[in-house]
Amino acid sequence: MTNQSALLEVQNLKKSFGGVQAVKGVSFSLFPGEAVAVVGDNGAGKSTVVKMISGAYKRDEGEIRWNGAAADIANPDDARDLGIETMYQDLALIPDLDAPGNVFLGQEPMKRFLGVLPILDRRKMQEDSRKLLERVRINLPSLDRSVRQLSGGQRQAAAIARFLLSDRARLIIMDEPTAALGVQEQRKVLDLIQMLKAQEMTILVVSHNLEHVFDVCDRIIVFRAGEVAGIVRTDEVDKQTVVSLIMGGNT
Amino acid sequence: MASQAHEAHSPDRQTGAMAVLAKINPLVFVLLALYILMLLMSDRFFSFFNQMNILRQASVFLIIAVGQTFVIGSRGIDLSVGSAVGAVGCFMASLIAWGVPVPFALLLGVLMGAGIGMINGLVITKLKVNPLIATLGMMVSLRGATHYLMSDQVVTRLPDAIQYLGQGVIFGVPMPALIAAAAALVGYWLFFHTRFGRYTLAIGSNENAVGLVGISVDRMKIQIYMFQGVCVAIAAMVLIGRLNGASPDLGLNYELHIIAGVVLGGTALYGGVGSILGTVLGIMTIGIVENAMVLIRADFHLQRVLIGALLILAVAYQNYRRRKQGISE
Repeated sequence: MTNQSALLEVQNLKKSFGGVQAVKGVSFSLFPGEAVAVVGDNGAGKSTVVKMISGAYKRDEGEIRWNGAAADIANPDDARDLGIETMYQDLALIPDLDAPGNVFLGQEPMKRFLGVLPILDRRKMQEDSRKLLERVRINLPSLDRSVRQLSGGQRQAAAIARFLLSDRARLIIMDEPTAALGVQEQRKVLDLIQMLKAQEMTILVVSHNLEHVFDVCDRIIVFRAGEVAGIVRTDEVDKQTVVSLIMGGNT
Repeated sequence: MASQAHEAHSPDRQTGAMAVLAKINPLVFVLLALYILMLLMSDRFFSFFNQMNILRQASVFLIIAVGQTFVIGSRGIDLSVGSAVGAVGCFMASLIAWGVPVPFALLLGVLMGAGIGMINGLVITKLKVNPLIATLGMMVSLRGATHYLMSDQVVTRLPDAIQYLGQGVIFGVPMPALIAAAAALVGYWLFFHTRFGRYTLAIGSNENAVGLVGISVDRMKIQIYMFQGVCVAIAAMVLIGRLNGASPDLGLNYELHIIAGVVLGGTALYGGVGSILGTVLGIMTIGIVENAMVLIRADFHLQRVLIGALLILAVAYQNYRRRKQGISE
């Protein structure tokens, strides 16, 4: 369907937890600049598959290829080094730090006060964060407010801006990004996903909300009982088809 | 940049003069009120001698409180600081009495302080003992060990160099106050302008998120308790110099005084929020209240009643503010 080569390919991925096979041989590919949704009932194996890609779980069997080369993802750092970033449901932000502080956490720029004393370069953190947030078209009321005081959508933007900082991120995995938000905030997150797509970022979204999935995603991977029940394009099928795939009826 | 003091308090949306007032640590007003009150109640309070006396007495507490601000800011607590002052103070005084050169004895004292902090940090991070219990155990054990090893004896008559640290005066300002001011400045720099301070508060705010970006939370916590230990050792030098000796009871009950000062200064017991300036104001407030009680001849035991009550009030006030901001914990 696309001429581009795949960014990520998973082949025959398997994972068991104490004798129970949660994922029974799953294969799919992701292409640059597309948003793909992972849907399925609880226990269908979708979060297990996503965690094997993000490095949170180690796969039992199967292959993960990144830009065509075999990739060994043993932990989240391996994934991050490749360019796979995961946005956790709680966003993993520091509520008492401001947005720039969160964006730069762990890699704060330093400067020298009076040429000797090393101090944090707050201005650089602010300016660079503002640029990153502009890239995703987010305007925060003030960059010195703690993240605790921001709205849900603004917090998501801060979390995303952190991934953009390194310029390394190619794939962003989002786990139920709209689940805990109000309607207006949900809209902002969907816009954010569109914005990232437009910048050639690949997005893998775990979501229960088919409305949102059809809104921003190009393709949907449906999981059922640890297997891929179907991979469909959102412009070729309707919601009812996806629901029957999830439930196991005939399409 | 100078916003650190008000960081400890909610930036409520206000305008004009109210906005300026809201940015000032409320303790400044408490201190002003105390000064006005004492002006009316005692003619001795304002004397230069008494003011310097307040500084001299608050200094030892402040040096330790700088370290405790980091510990509490990271959502920990160190109850062992009073016992550690006793242990390190007796250790240094004993070394000097045995003829160990003063600079060497002080250096060993600093290493001992850092070592005590390291043990606290290791017990908390590796053995997963809650900080309250870990340092409570350290507090009791360390005090017992000090009494045991000192055989309940005291060391007196220390060399001039040590006495100078506790009793010296430069341009009318007591040496302990200068050392405390230096400790507060270094603490301010570390707390507000370095990664060490930033990660300290970040750990207090959400330690899982700190771990996720690749910062070793355990190592940070151990370093924080070690820093507290170094502060304790410096305070112990000043204290044995001021008293010209050391007894196993040195530093008894300091922990409550210090924690009350830090919390009163706005550093949140829930971690994530704190300020060194607040700690300075908190310790000074307690110092002035104590001094005032002496001047108005209040019973000595009532001082402890008041400090205990102040600690409870400070925490109640913090919780009230958090609820007002809609933060539940």
